Amino acid sequence: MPTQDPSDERIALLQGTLDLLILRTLLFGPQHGQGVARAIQEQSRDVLLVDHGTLYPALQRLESKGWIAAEWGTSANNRRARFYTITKAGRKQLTQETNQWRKLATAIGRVLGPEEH
Amino acid sequence: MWWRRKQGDFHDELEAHLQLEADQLNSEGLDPVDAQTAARRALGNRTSAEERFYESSRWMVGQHFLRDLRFATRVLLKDAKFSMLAILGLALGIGITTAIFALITATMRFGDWAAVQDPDSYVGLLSRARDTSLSYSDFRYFQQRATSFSAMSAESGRWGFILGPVSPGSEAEDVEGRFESADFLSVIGLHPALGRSFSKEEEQVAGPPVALLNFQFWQRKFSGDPGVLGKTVVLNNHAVSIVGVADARFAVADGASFYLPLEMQPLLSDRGDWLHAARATWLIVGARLRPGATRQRAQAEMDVLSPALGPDKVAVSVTAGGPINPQKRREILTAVVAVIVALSMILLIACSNLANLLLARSVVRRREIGVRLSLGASRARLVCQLLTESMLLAIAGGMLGMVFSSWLAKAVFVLVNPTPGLALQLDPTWFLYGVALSLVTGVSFGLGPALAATKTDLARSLHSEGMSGTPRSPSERIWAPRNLLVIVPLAVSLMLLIAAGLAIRFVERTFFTGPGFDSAHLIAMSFRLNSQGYDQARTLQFQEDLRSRVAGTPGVSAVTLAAASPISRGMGVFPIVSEGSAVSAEESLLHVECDVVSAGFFETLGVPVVRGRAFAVSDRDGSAPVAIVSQELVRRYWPGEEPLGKRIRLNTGSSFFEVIGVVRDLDNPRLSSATPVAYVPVGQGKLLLAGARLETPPYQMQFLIRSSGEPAALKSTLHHEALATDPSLWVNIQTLQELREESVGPIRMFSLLLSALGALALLMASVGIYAILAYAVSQRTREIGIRMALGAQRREVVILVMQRTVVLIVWGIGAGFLGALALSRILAKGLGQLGGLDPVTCVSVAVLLGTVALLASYLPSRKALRVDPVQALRCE
Repeated sequence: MPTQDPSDERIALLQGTLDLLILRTLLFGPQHGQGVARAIQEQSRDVLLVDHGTLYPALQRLESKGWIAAEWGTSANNRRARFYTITKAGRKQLTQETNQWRKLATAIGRVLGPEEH
Repeated sequence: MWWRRKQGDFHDELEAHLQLEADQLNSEGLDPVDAQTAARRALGNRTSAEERFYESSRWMVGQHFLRDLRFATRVLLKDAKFSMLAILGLALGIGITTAIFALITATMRFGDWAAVQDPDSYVGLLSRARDTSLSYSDFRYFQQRATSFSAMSAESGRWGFILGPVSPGSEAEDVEGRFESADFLSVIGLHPALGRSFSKEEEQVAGPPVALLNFQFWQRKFSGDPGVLGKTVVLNNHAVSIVGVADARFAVADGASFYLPLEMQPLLSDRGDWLHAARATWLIVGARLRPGATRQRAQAEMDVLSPALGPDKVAVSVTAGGPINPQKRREILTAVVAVIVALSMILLIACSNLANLLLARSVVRRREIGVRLSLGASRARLVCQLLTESMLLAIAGGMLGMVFSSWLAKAVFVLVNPTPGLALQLDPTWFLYGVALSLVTGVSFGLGPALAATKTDLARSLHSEGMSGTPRSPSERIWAPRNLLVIVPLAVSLMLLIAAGLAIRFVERTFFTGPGFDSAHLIAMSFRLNSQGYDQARTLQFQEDLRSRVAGTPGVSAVTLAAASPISRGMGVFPIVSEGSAVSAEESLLHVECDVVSAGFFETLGVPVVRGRAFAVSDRDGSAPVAIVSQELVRRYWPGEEPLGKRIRLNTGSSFFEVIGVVRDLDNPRLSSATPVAYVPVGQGKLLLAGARLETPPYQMQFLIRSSGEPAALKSTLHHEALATDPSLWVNIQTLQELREESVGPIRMFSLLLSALGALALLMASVGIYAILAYAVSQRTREIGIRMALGAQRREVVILVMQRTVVLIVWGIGAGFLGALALSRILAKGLGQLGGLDPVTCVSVAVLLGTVALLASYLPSRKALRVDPVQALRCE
């Protein structure tokens, strides 16, 4: 396991949110696992930490649920890689989960009250 | 997703990830080596990821199972001796149990109640008196008055008849029949398969004599010929015409061949007129409730009707499900439960044996299990795996057992089946029962050892194998489950062996030793003249005539007549009273057998008169009453006294007979006890038997013929001679040896079966004892090693090991004796002649069992001696 520096400000992902982020990332087109991890990290401006070790079992889980499809292909720098594409069921799932997440975030925000600066 | 992604594919993907990540880091400015390391670190525990991928597969459970199965098969094949033993033991246990189950269910299917249509509205009318049956007049009274029923029918017990020759050239036969009312088929919803039931006219006293045939009898005797209708047969010397054949489902296993109108009873029987005797309660009555009528309403009506019959009439109960005596139903249930309990004992032995073996083996495998546990296998997984092994054994044993069971059930069925035309069908219930039994066996007796084996303390099992704590004293944990595994099989095999011993001794008494005279060349020829219309004068004439003709037949060295066969129990057992002795209660008197014999009886049998004289022709009706007694009677009744000249009376109210001679006992002198017998001469039989109820008239005798050559040839000559004057007579000609074999045959079968089961139980118990001791010894290896290193003698070590076993064996034998006592009580009810527990059988069986058990325990203790002290201590 990679050891984490206590001063590190990055946040480990909440349980269940990884699926959502993977699906969201794949919305922009086929991507391999490493690309997905990088994309999440970059888009969250390096706040969210993706444990590479947990990413692949998660991809496998989504695949077996039929939300994403996979195919071996070649990467931009001519490496062999397994590319994932979001399926129709995956899109539906993403919409649903995004809505849920927004509701949850709003609700938690309300409970926590106005931001204090 | 129907396909499964391969583990290798996942591995490749992770590899690709590392490459891509390293490339990226490299392009971001890290040098190649650092980039590789960083990428690997970011990925974290790769094995754990791969494992998670593996376990997410939906095929996991099935795969575990398949792997367990493969592993179990391999383990069991590796230890083939163990597996064979376990499988064979289980196969026998399950086989015997399911075979008996099949027989019980088959018997119940053949039973009368299976044929009853719409059983909910079928009831029985049982008298509340002891015998539950009603008299003829009561039956007709209820039939006319009761309004709750749409039909009512009465049936008698089975009566024996002589069926005259049905065609020229064939011979008379003894058959059984029942008297029935006309509705006997329709009341249970059946119809004659052929012809019709009795008409109104035929149900009149002295109406036309008619009969219906049993379906199976019709098939056997008349080959199912429909032309049998209207045919006339002779039953007990009366012409009876056949009007129908009963439904094939009616009374399938009953044994009665003829159904006759109730009103023919006085005609066909010489036991008197039972139609008009109010005291004769001989009918079992069944009835069909009228639509809408309830059993409660019917009962209320009967409660009103019964007292009208008179003040001394007993009440009648309306019972659900037909006229089955509740007492009898209880008896059947008891018998079924007893059989099932006995069977479960056999299965229990088989199972405890398996448990023992598994337990003993788990010791051998303790290291393996310890290693697997310490490498991270969960206990549940290991228990699952051990259970798979025991289940595999149980299922293999069960399948073999089912094969064995179908053979056994069919063999027993053929052996006992009294009615031809019946076949045993093994139905799905039987199969399901066997499968369920195997599964239950596998789980219940595999679970214990599996849990015990995986409970091992890791550190201990890996380091010091022998350390199993200080053994507590044996008596303290005598009822521990593990000890019960030794005690119970021992006790059960002891019970079975004692029962077998009793049966064998009985058979030996009556079969192997035989009587104290040559019975192979003594032919008995008996008739049922009274059933075939012969009166006293004609009978005597016939007997005298035949006697003189037989005496003149070549090959006959002697001929005599006797009322009862010398190998039967005589004409009955009577209390003996000597003239001038004090009057005492009948129970305290000596009971003796008695027989009425003609002159020449003792010479024909070859039994010498040891004192006094034999009967002479002058001892006859009208001369002074005389008797001859056996030696045993003298020994018991007049020890040390002079018997000749004493006067005895055998039946209250009969005359006194003077003892004129003493004969040697008929019983084999090798037997420890003989039967006291008294004989009286032919003409004086009626003096002896005055007032006694007899099945046959006292003047009707059977012939005893001593053959000088081969009895088989003489038998056919005698047969010809017997039928010379009247070819319609029924005659039975057999040597006394054949008659004896016939009577002890079933008991011999029974004793053989019991001994086989007992031997099986003994074998299983020994294997179990061996296994449990091997287990105990291996647990104490270290202790034994230390003892030997400190100078313990071999003898002391053996004693140490066997001490515990001896206690267990003693307990097992003690419990077995208690069980045997109970079993002998049950057996004594069924087979009265078997007698109680005799010390010889008990002691010899206990010694045999104890020896075998000690032997089984000696072998592992020898193994203890081979323990190398150095080796045992080095285990540390």
